[in-house]
Amino acid sequence: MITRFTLLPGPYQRTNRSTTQIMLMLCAALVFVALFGIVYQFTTGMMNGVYGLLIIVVSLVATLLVDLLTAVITKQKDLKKFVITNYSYVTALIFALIVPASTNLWVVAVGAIFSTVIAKAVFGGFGRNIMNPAIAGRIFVGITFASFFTAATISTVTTGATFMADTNLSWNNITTMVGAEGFDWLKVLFGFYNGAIGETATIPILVACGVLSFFNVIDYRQPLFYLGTIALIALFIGLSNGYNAGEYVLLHLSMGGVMFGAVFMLTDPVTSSTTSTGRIISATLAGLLTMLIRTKANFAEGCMYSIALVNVFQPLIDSFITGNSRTNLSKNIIAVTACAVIAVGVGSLGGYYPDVAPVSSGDTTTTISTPSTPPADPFDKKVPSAAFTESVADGTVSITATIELYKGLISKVTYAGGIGSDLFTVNDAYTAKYITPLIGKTVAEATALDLFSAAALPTEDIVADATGTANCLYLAIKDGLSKAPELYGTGTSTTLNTWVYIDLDADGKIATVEIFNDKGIEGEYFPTIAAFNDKYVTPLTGLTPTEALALPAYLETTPETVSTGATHSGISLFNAIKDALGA
Amino acid sequence: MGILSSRRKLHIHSNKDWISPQVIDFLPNEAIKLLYFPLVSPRGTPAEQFVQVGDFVKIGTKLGVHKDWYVPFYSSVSGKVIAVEDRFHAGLQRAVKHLVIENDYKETYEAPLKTVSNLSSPAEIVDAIKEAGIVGQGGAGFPTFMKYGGVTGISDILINGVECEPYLMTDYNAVKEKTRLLVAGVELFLKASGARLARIAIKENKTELIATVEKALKGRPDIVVTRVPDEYPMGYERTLIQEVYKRDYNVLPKEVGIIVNNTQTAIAVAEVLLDGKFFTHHYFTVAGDGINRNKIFYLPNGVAVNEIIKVAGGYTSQDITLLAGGPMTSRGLGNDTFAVLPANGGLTILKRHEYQQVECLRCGTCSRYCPLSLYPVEIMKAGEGKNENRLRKLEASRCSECGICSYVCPSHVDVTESIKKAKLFLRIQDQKKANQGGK
Repeated sequence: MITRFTLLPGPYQRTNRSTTQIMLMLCAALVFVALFGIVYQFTTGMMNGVYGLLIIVVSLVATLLVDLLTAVITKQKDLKKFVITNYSYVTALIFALIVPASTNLWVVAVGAIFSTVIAKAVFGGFGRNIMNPAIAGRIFVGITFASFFTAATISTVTTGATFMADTNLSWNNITTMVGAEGFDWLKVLFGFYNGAIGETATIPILVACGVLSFFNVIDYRQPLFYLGTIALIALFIGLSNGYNAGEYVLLHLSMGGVMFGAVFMLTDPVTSSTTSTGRIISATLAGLLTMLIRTKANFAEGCMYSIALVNVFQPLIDSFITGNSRTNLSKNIIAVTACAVIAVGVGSLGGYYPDVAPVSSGDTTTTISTPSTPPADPFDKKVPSAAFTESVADGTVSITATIELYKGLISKVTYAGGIGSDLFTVNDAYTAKYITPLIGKTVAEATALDLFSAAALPTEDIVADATGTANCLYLAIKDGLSKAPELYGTGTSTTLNTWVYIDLDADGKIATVEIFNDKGIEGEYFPTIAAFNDKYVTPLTGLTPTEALALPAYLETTPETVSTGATHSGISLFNAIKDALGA
Repeated sequence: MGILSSRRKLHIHSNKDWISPQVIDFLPNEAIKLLYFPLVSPRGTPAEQFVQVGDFVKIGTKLGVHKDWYVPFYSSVSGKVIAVEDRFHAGLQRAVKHLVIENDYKETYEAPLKTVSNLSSPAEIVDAIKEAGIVGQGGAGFPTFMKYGGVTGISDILINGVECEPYLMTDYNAVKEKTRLLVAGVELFLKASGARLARIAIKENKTELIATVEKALKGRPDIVVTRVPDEYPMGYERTLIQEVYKRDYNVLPKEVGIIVNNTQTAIAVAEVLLDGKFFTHHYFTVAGDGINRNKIFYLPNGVAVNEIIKVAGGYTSQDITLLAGGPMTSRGLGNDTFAVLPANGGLTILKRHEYQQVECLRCGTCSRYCPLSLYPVEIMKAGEGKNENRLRKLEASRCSECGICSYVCPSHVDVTESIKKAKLFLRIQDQKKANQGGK
């Protein structure tokens, strides 16, 4: 027997750990996180759950097909090995978990293919891509196919996009974010709300983070410093703007896919630095970018863009890290500390809004009922009702309804509160009977509907087992309608648009006049137009609309110029009030 | 601050559980019929040859001197010089001239070398070590006298009995068999260096050995046993000093007042300088799944490895990785005819196993365990791009080639091999610059 001596390079004893093993553990964690999203989808409807699964399947199949194609084109000898060690299925899984849950399936396929081919294979396959492929794919479909994020086959419950986009929330204003009753944090933290399948379940993602870090599948430094930077910036923004800081921090950490990005995308080793220092610096910078995009660009998906940006800058950051980590330790500590201080400082300053009136914490309900900040669109007006509470068998139900008006017509009725998932069981039948008929009507028309003109609660038990909830909701909607403005008018002059909402009290007398113009509520208006206000607005209170129109001031076709330098404001407001009063 | 710097060590499976109970074997006569002594130093410099073909030699006959530093080498058997022939040399990876001595099995001895006594001065001890031709038994084979010649400011001697390479049990058995000589040798080191304290470092899981040594050290406050954790590369001077003294040095341990020696080196010094023997025999491990019987031998220098393999029952497979040392730092040899050198502590023989290599995923695990806190993957990439400037900035030439970066790599990339290439590239660049400077 001739002995053959191996001349393979050493060492000849090696760790049992393999990259495939790492990737499979990552996949297991992704599946665990996706479970929560899928289960939520099923709670909103059988079809929605199936659709969520279909997104994952389509993404995986499309990716595997192009992977095979890549293998054939690049003349790989071992197709199976190539597909397994190219790890595109991880990309496919991540991509499926970050697209809105109602995206058209062919858009999912296109995005997955873009991820694997353009963002990965073109650069030389696994280990050589410069940007996280799943993020690249998500940005691509986000820019190109955003209008296909809502598939026609899906019921309106899963409205798509992320939760943030769905509810028109603004990162700069906690009052519009948290809502009258606050979030149901339990639901939010476990992902029971609309959004991408994988991004919503904050607590399960954190659990996955812990397990993956323990087994060294991901580097704990990256989520720690990324989320830490975000939390600190959010804390300082919260404190400086007078929000409920704790809730504001929690909101930033649990919304917009930050947690998912921190654990599954920022930690992608291929696009990360190989050095601890480099990883911490880029994670900190990503945290800063996320917060700047959120507060300055007012964009829900700041997380995704920030990670893509630091991915691209990684080689530059790496080129500054030289020598060894022992003798350069103090240098690295200084670099990391400086980076963290600058990031938190810049981020906090960037999110400070001196114009926004402070909102005292713990007093959100009161503040909400008299909004002190303008809606983003002056045509939009949200009128929250008071909370209605009723004892039911398994506790107390408390519900707030919000009537949203658009150009004086009811555009949307939303509600918050309730216990457990009873609101979801209320949903379909109740919506059909009590909410859908309101849409598109004026407040006066809605109030006049038979449904709401009755003084007593509806005797019809529409929703079995949720009568208390249904009753609360009924009362809340009714209250919301009673608080909604009854009169709405627009007025223009050559350079300015003005809108008014006039609220009538129970006797049909004018109670308040709310004014918006192009510059926002009370923008530059009141200081210069005080004299106009005295003559044209203040006298309206206490009059019926007919009496108001009969005032001498409103008998003219144009108002008298009473305020120097504010002629156009005066004219447009005059027109708006006349419009609202029905002239 | 572990969050930013390397952990610098890692527990790896020691593969040493095969050797219980330990029995020391001797080679049968037929295995030591012919012995081979290379006529070049481990660095490749031709040696000065004192005997010619046809001469008769005894145990302890000075065969020649390696001239990089003054290191004489002695015959380990009595017999006749029958030839000078080309033979594979494991360290140099090529064939070099060897003296061939035929054993006459008479075991006649030369007159002993000059021994030392309690009254000897440090210089006399160092001279005696030099004349004995003792080289470090840790594997590198650095002449021992070089560490002691004219040193000042040495506070501690660190005796390295860690043996962190998997499979090898050479030091363990040498210390167990010759505890008394170990203590005597350490005493000589203390005297030669002027150090006040000697520490014998042994892995904490070798409790039996620690007990044996501590028993022998009773009543000696100047020599103590230091337990070190079972991690790799704990036996690397830098890691060991970091572990025991929490100190770092630039090039040599001398900078921080410490001299590090292997346990077997101390034993050899005591044997030659006190007992009047010659530096010709040592313990030798043969282990691994590629050999039929794992064994510890006590054998003479110059034995051909293929004879040892025969005694150990031959290979278990047709595809073998043969290593003159442990599996972490040694490189695979293409030939098993080479002779055992004084610094060879053993053979690791493994069945061929090819690790499935995939693309580097840049996980940075190598940077988190490098004992020198280097960034191995960055060095590898800079080396692939032949980026000399970046290689120098990354201190590539400091790498000790311990193999831990390749060990931890989940993609099974040959990181260490790439760094070796990068170091070679840097040496060539240095040479080019030196040549240009000379013109």
